[in-house]
Amino acid sequence: MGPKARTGRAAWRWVGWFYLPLVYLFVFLPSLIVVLMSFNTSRLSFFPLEGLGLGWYRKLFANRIMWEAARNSLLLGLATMVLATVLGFLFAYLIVRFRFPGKELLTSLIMAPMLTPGVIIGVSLLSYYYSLKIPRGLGTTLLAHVVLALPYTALVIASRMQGFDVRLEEAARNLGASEWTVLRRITLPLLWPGILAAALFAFTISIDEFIVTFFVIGERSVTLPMRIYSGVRFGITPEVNAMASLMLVFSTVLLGLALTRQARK
Amino acid sequence: MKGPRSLLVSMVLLMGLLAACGPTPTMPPAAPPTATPTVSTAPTAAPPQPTTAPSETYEGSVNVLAWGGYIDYAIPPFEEKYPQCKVNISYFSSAMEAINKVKAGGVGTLDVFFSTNNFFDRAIQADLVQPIDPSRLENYTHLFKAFQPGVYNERHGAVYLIPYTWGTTGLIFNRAKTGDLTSWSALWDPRFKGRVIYGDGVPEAWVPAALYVGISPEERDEAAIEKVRPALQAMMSQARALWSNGDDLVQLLVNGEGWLAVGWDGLARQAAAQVPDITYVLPQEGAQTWVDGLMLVKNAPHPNCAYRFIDWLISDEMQIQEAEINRYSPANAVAASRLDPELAKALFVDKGEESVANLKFYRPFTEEEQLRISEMWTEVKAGQ
Amino acid sequence: MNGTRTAESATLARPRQNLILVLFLLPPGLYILLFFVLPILVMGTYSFGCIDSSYRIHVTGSLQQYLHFWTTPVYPRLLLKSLRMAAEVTLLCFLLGYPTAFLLAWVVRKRWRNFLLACLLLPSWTNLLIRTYAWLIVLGENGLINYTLTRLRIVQEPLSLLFNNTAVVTALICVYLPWMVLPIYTSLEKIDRALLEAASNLGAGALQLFRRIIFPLSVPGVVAGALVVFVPAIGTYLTPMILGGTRGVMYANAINNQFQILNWPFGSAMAMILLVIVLGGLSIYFRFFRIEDIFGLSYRR
Repeated sequence: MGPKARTGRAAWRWVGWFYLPLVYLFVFLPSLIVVLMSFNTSRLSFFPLEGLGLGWYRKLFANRIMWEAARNSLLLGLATMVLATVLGFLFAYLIVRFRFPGKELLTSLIMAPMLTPGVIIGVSLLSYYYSLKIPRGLGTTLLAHVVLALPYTALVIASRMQGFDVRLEEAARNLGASEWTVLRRITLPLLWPGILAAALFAFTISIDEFIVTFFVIGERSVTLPMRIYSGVRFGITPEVNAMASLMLVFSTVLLGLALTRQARK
Repeated sequence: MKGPRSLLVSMVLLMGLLAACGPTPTMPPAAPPTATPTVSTAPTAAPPQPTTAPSETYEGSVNVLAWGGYIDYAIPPFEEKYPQCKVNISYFSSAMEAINKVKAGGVGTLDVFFSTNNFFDRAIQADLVQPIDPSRLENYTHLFKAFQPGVYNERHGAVYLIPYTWGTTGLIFNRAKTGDLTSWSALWDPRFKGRVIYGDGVPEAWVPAALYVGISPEERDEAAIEKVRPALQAMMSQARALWSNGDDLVQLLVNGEGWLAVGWDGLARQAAAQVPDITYVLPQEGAQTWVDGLMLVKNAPHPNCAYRFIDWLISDEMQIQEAEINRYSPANAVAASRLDPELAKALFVDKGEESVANLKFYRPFTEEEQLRISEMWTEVKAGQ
Repeated sequence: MNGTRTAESATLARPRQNLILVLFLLPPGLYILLFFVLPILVMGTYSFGCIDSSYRIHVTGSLQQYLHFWTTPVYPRLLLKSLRMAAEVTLLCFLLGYPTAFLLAWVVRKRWRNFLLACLLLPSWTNLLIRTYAWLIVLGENGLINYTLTRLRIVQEPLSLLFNNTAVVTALICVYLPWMVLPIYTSLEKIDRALLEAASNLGAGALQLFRRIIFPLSVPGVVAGALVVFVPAIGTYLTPMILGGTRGVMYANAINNQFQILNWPFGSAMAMILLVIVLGGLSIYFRFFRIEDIFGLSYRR
């Protein structure tokens, strides 16, 4: 870049060192508090801390219902991830590679859940399951989560496909490879970072989903957000802080794995 | 390609690890239940044997909808005693939420849920429940006589609600901050502006305000609603926050954000366990009494397990534990008599049958009244 | 613009292409139809009905629910309140988020970018409810801020930071900020550096570069971010409920409340009205932007 812009850049670096940490601290503040409080020996959550200890983690491991909720949330997250990524890939492939009548309409429909307030999706699915007498449970919740995640996965993958050099595929085809081989050996591997990103997105959306889940989960199962919400007449104990901290660690590990894999490419 | 595959494998392993790390259920399910003649004596040293009535087979599980954290203590021993009745529990945080959930898809999948005498009519009206046969409950006769068929659990000559606990909705205050209070008017006292935690549900919001303006809480016509509205509007600037979730109230009282509130007696006791200055009182104008209980859902898929579960919750041992852990007044008279005298006094069950003989209940809200009051309350909260 | 051919050269001539088209079209298409479009239609039919004393829903085709909505001032009021709050949150997210995205895309060293972006998403994996309750611990009377301020003797009495609009907005910004940053970053990152080199060599200063080239090219990202924040924010109700004190009731609370008291038809009507408004707003957007452009899916201008 030209000399003027270059010195500007150095100045910006100072701004960056000042501004970015503040923003990140802000965004992380609630999560950090949660982790801090999970080690607080007191049942009450305020300052100053009574003391530090692992008591809540011990209690957490003995709490069967909490684990069931966490397990359900994880299962749901993984299932949503798989389903939403597959559907998202199919759709992304379509809109990037093809032209067909009704394409705009279909794109709008698939993007729509991203732009629809959660309460509407929840309420509509509730009415739907009720009218069709479909029993609510983890299955119905999975269906809802995939609807929520689909626009994002489609978007991310399509975005990635945009920058994709079609000539590679064509070359492979000209060399006699079948469509399936082209897909498997060329398209998918090159798209992999996008697919991974989409999968992580879908997982993120599912794992923390509350509003829609509230309407569609029914009574036989419970997810973590639901368990926390119905804390009630008795009480949300700080075990939830321990659980949340563990999940944060878990997701950090996952993310770290995903990132290092990507870097290695 | 190696990369993505190994990532997938590691994720699945991690997930499996997490799922396995949770504590295993207390006992593996027994062999398929068959009807066996009752065993006359059970070895006392061994873990409790499952009791099977001659004609009962257990369906394998029971689906329960309860207040969050309310009955969790009772589940592990129940599953130990009845290994063929694994408890699947889910939660709610308001009486209407429970009924709504049952309506939205509970019939045919849910077995048991909690309701209160103020709202269980709704469930009956909406055709969501079936009558309960008290003769199938061994512990039914241990309940206070007043709670055996009565206005709070009986409709059309059949029993629909089996009382589990009872209590009142009164005035909770931190005596160190407010001094001793005796009247609902304390909530509107300008000295406590910004320090009141008010209730967000229809009964919790309506009753204190109605008593404050001097009408009976059972008057709920348009005129009454307009009389109560200004008091509630005044409460909007008087209150610091509204609670709809019991635990929120306890937290706000305990960490000092709120000095006084309208709330359930059990919540007050839970708060007092952490901050002894927190006191509960039944204001002189009156207060709402409620009975919490269990209902049996229509077409329950696991009725036998459901009956055992209900029976378990109202049993002497469980009711004693309930009083000690949750601090709500038990509905079981035998259990009440076996409580520590201090605790019994605090829970108002120290006088035997007399404790509950004179409980006064306000007429339950009809659904029209509920709709109207709810709308007025929404308007007040939105600033009109 | 980056040298690759756009992939839309495939036509429908070859039968194999047709097969792939249909095969790939069916799963997502059907899915959205069955689990998004149809449910909304069902909800719509409920809104044209009423409940009887047994809470059974009767679809009568009457507009009574909609009439009730428009003739009871509190409901349109709440709708406006939610829209305003969402707009406020979106604006603040933009003001905070654009510099963040800019710094990430231009100033931060290349190899840190992915990492920092991922970090931004990390808090989203902590339960929203728990994060909201955490704000009680931060802003409360005995919370982090008040504790620090009183210990450092900056203030004598604890400040009342909780149970007001500011607390709610702060918590919401914290939740939505990453979702604003991400699209803006994407569009900023795509800008061809060669373009800027050329302009800079022609003598353009940093400010001009920004005003004339960078910002305009980032607008699609900004619009995308605004949408992804604004729309969910309209439907938010937990955060205002927990942190908003007596002023915490929002449109979505009211909808939920209607369902709780078993008045499904009215709740459905409220939801439909919100949907119409959102769709209406979106259709205005789509006069100026094509849906593909907004999400950076195409380079056609």
